[in-house]
Amino acid sequence: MPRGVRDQWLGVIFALGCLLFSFPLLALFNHADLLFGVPLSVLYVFVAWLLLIGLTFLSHERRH
Amino acid sequence: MIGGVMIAVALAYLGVLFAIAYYGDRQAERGRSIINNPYVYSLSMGVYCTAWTYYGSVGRAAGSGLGFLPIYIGPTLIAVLWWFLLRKMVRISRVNRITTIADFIASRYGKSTSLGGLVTVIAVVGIVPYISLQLDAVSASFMLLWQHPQGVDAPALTREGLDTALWVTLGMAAFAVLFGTRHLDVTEHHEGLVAAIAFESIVKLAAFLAVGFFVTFVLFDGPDDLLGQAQQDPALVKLLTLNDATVDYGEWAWLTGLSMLAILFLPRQFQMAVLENMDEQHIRKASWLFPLYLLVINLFVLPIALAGLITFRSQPMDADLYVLGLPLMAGGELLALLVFIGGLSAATSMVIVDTVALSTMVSNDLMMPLLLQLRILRPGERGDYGSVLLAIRRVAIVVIMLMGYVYFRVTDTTASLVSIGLISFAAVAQFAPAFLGGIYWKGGTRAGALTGLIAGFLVWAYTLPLAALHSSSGAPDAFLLDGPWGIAWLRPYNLFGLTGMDPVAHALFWSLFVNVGAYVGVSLFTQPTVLEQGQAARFVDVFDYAVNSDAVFLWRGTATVQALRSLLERFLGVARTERLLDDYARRRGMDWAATQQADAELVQHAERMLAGAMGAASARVAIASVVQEERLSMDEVLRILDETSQVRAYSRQLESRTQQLEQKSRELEAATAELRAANERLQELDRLKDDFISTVTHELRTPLTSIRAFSEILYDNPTIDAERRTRFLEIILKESERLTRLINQVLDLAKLESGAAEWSTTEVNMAALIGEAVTASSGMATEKGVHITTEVESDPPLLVWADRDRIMQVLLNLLSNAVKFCPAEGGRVAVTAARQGQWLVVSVTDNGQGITSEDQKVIFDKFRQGGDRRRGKPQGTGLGLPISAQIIDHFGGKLWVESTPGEGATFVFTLPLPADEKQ
Repeated sequence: MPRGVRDQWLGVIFALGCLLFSFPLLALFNHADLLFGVPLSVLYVFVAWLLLIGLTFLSHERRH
Repeated sequence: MIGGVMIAVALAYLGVLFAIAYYGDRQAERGRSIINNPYVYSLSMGVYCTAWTYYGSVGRAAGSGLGFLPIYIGPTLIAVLWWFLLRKMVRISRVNRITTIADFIASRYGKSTSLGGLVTVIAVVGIVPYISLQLDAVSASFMLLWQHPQGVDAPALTREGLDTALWVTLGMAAFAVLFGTRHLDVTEHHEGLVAAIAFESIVKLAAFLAVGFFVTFVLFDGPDDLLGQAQQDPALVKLLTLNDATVDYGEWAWLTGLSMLAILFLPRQFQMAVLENMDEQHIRKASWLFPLYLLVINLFVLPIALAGLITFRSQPMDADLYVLGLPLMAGGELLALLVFIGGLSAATSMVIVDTVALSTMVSNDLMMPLLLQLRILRPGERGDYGSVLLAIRRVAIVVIMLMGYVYFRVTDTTASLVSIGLISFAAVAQFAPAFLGGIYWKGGTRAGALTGLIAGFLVWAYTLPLAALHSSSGAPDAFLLDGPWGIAWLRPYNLFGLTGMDPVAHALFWSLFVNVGAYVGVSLFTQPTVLEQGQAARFVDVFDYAVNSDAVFLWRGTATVQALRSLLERFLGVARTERLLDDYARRRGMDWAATQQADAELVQHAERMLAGAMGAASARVAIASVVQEERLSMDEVLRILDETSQVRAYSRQLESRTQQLEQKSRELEAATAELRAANERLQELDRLKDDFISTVTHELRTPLTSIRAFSEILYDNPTIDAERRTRFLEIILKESERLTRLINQVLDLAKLESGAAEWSTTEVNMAALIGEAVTASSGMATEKGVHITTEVESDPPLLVWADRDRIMQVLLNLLSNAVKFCPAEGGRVAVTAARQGQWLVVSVTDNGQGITSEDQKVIFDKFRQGGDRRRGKPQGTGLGLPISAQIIDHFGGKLWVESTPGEGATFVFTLPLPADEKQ
């Protein structure tokens, strides 16, 4: 992917991040039930967070 | 614990910081920067995590569960956009030699001294609560550790801790003075400082993870145990979700937004992310590495909060101190000491960087312009003003720290760390409109920025710190409940009657509302000056201008070299001025001795040199005092800007054209390579075709020649006797047959190779087919005295899918070859057919002279025959085997030969058996 196109991805990732951390999606996962031994709400926030970091990583570090 | 030990350890830790900073500075002087890499850059941004994160997050989590997280998610979101936003800030700052955020905003709006001063005041006042938070946390943690194991209740502890807090304040101020004001020029990177801050980021992360592990896995049996115990208590279960009792979605959203602004505009973040950036490319790595740091340092916040709530259920303990209280409770004194050091590192990193940034603002953007404009300092006079700047900075640090202490004393000492910190976040958020507008909107004016900032700041001060002072007793007084003079719509927590919002959200809403409104409104109704318009273009279109902005002169003036030189010496010192001017002369090929009058370029250069030490606004005032300024008209400014941006746009076009061409030429190269390969293949095929035709012609000529020769004999000698005539005619007939066969085979081969041959595939019983082939060949065999034997498996019958006639053709070809090459006496040919796995294997063996290994390689080529041609006339057409190989290949099998010279040859071919035959 050319660098310019890759940089446009950053805008997409930002929008995705805003969506992941806003009302409807947060509410969807807002339960204290355990999944893999972790409350679903906590798991969701941290996994979404990690996803955001991972996507930013990919759009900066992947070569071609 | 013994206070002496704690103080000794703390001092030893601060000593280590000094050593690192000293080492960093030394390496920088030798040109071996230890901070010029993206990892140190990302770690240095960890200065975002202060005592707030270290102690306060757990306190916040104990009260509102996941509500501590938006403060870290906001920066993660904005970090995604750093590549655009932060890079632009870095570029602008480098090009304009920006020294602080106040300098940045002042510089954008026409190097306005009033704007720089205002931003400085807002920053200092706004950060004071934040500093008081650090003092609060450090002194409280110190007291808790010191008084252990008596165990004291938290409120009493903080009261007693007031004296401790004063000592902590003075200690930190002394440290910040020693540490932060070692150099004068602030645009040169503080390499030692950055190295020390990066180190502190590692220390606080390690200490926090250590206590997290200890609490989760030693105090409790892992997260399962912890969660299991927490789920006994409905109040704790509530903390695991977002709801009205903890943090609702609205609060979550505005906290996220607020922290997005904070990470950009906190003076210490601006210092680390923008001013100390060594390379714009480092932003790429930092934009995922820094959020990762935030994630890791927050992993154990919730477990520690839950553990604290469970452990201290029956004892009073400030939740902000769980991080320290838990290891102390469990008797882990060494761990507690490590936690204390981690907290100290979190607090000191914030205090150092913020005081360096703020004191630079105070000296460059507030005091210096004042002193210059009030004529207290006269640049024309003798004197060393560099030391004046340093002195101002040192005093400023002490004053700012003392203000933090006073704020700590007079406000509610039971307020949580996070609630104090948020007040500061809301203050720096006031920079957002003027700053972001300044770098993306050319229409913003100085008047708009000034009005917006003042309005926003006043609303902030009224609704947050002033209100906080009024609730210092813990209970809200009449001012808060009824409003000033009983005017209800002026109540600081319910301005204009707005209710139902958290105090910080309420303040943030109103302050940004008036701030943005005033900034945009006033900007639209005011005319920018020439300088403002020039600066606006340089900021907004920074990527369009040449990197070396020395080439852009928005301002024309003349001065004597001597006046400029003495001005520079006043602020930068004699030695440094000499070095800078010599460098300049060398680059331009100038001779100072021969130059009396400084041109605009030199004046501009001198201003930029000064700006690095004292900020853009001050430098402009100082330069103006020795330079005769010539005003540029608007048209001239626009023309100059237009020219440079055109040059830049042109070079950009060239660049992209070059890239396009490179791309094209790469594509062309690839296409050429393909064409060349195709061409080579064609030439090869052409050569093969020529070979084939010449061979065919040659082979055709042999029989033709003999037919013609014998025909001529018969024609010329009509009297030839009957016996000879019959013999000649026999030869002619045989050669004609050979010719026909040859032509048929050539046509056959051409059809096979082009894929135009017709196949009729049916089920073929191999045993029957072999029998027929042997019968058909028996005439020829008997003639040569050759005995043919067959050995064919018949139960179950060998059935294959193939073209009966074609397979027959192969068998006949192989049989006739075998018979042909058998010895004249005692020739034997054996045909076998058998099943081998999923293959049918047919072999035809003779006991002739065999085929040499060289011949084995070529007999399947067209027109190549085995044996020595010189020994006689060829016995076949040389096309039989190639045709047979093609046929077998068509049905998915293989044809090959095995032979030892002198012992006969075996031709073998295989055909796939149908699936149901495999079993």
